[in-house]
Amino acid sequence: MDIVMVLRVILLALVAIGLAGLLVKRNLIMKIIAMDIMNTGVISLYVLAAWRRGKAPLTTDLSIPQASADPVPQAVIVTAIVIGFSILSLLVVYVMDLSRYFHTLDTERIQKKWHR
Amino acid sequence: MNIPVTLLVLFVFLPLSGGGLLFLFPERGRKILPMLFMVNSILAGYMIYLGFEERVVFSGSFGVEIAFDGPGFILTLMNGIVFLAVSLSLADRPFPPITLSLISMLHGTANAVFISNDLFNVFVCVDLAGILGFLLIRMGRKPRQVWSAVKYLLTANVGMIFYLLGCLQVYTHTGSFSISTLGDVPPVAVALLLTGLSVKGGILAMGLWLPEAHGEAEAEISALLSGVIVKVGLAPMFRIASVSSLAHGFLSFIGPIAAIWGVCYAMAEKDLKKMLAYSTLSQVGFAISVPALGPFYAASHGVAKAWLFLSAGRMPGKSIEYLQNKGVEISSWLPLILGSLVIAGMPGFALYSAKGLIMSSQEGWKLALLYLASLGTAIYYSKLLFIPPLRQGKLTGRSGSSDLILLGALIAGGYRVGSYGISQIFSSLSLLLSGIALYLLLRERVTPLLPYWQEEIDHILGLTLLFCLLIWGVFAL
Repeated sequence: MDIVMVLRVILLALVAIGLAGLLVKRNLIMKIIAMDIMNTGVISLYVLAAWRRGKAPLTTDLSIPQASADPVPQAVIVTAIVIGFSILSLLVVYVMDLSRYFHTLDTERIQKKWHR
Repeated sequence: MNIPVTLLVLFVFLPLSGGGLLFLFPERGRKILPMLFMVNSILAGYMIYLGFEERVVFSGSFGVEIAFDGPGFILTLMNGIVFLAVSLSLADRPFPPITLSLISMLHGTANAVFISNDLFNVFVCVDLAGILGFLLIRMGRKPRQVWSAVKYLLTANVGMIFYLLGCLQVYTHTGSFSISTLGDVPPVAVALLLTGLSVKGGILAMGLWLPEAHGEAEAEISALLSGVIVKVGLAPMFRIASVSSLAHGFLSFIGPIAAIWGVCYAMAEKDLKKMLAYSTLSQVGFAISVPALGPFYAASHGVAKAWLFLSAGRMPGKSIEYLQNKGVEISSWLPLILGSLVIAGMPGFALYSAKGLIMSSQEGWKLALLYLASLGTAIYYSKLLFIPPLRQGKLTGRSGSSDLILLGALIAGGYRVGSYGISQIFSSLSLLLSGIALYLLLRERVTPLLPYWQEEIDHILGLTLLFCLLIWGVFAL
């Protein structure tokens, strides 16, 4: 089997694992980690896509070996990594705040307290 | 680049960089920001008047693209007006100094979303708007605000991960991020993109983070959330639907359902701000049911809903029943009543003409559902119409001027595009009156139709996934 195909399946499985964690875990910290796993899976998929296309970056000079990466998905995904990181850190800070107010990080219990 | 384009790009960069400067000099912002927002609305209005259109493509063929066109300008105009009104009414109230710089940045970001025509710009700006919205929701530092903000950011970010996957699909198939190439991408890409955006745009169950966040945030912030941040999710959808027939078909299918679904929630709600938030869920359904007319409807709704939230902030209490028993000072009563009438479809205002346009291009079961939803809108806004006025107080200073600005914008919108045939006026008036009559019959008898657990975080996340699979499944067949 093609190595790209295998990698893609593995990375999609990673995204699915993250999603499953988001749905199943009740602890907010675990939810945030699961979200990050999902994000990492998507980022790696972008890196994989860049590798597969294999055009020489930013040049028309054919003497350069042709198997280099496509720069566009990589440039794009650097931005997405930064955004994902900033959202992650914001969430962690405010989840700390929440634990001080509610004395739990269990989403079900927070929502029960909320609705009362 | 010619002069108008340079000027227009400035309206993304000025508020963004100005927001950074305002961290250092927060006091200056109180005077400068309203002026900035005013210049922005005047410029956008002038561009609509000229019918200016231009596309700017950056860096060759990778599809980084800015589109200055009608839909973008309408939303930019709404953005300017809503921010102008909010900044004027913030001037009367004490608030943390950081608010002004966040608001300024949010304004620039929203402008950027409304004019950008490529998927990745949209991703960056929508996410930035989400982060700024998160910081604004928790501004009052109440525990409930922090929880609803965390819930919002978590669900919205999961939505954006779906969106990123969709972007990747588009790129591998077309070699570009431009929205104009979306015509022939596989259905799964469109499904992923739409799912991501509908979490932000508040469509069906994916938007259920919205009532808590809008209900708990400070009134001025809720005005920005309902007026602008929800439209930040909708604007790219309208652009996608204008090129992809899949997206167009799906949005016009889901729109009427979303409209009636929001009405079911709003009908039973007893809290004023939460009712307004559910009403946003329903109005979004109207906007997406005809994507080509969506920007105008979304803009009119943004202005009207911002007005309602601003006046809800001046109410002495949150519970509608309490307000109905005690009454409200006439200066805050008048905007609330006028705003309710505008959204319920009173002839002469922007939403009346927008609704007329949307109804006239629908037929069959969609039209029936939309009529039913309009009737429902009139019913639940009647709750506010029966709040009695108290004869004291008067319109004062800056908050009064923000009311006047929003009212003026709504009337101008109704005048510019409105169609005032006898039959249309008659049908919308009769819908409004029968809504009020039905409310008098039904009041006290309405019990909550939809339970609270639907708004829990796991439920929203699960439904986001299901929704994505559903669109994909339906479109792949």
